Amino acid sequence: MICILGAWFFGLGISGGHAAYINSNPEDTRWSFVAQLPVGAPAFPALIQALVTRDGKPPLFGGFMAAPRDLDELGEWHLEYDHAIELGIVYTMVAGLLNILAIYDAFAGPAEAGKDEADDEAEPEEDDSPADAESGGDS
Amino acid sequence: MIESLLLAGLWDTRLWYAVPLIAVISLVYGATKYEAPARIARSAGETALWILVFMAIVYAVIWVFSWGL
Repeated sequence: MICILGAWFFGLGISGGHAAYINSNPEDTRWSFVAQLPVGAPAFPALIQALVTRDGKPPLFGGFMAAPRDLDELGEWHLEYDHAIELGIVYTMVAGLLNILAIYDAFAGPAEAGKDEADDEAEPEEDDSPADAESGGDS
Repeated sequence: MIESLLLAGLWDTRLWYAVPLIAVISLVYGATKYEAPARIARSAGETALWILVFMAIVYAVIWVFSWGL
């Protein structure tokens, strides 16, 4: 949880909150949000902003996680934050995708949990093996 | 010249953004595979190494193909 949310908020932080948003403009379709949404509630402000700005109303929270008004504003963001926008998108996408793993883990349990016990049991056996070999030789 | 360019690339600050990302991916992936903290840490280390090796291979391939450009 700390890792996933840490990656999410770090990505949003370095991009000024512009790494994750939904845009109805077909010239700026944000397919990255498909990977970002599985992070859960932290992605909801983008959904709220999309609903609020759908009718042309101004965005809430000072434009946090809101789509740009036009491509010019998007260009200004890229000019201001440089590579941080792309890095923020990568961080937030990875956070969303990792949360799918975490959800699956919560649903089905660790994939190789049996190996933990198997490894613990295997180590003492390896230590005992020379003794077993010796006893085998005596018999 | 080439060595200095490589070093400049390695020490470029943007590359350091990969470090927390690799750590996060490795830890979460390890935690989904195992329960014991020690096993998770070992798995995370192995995964991080795999990612770094993979990144180095991709870097080498790109570097070879960009030779002479």
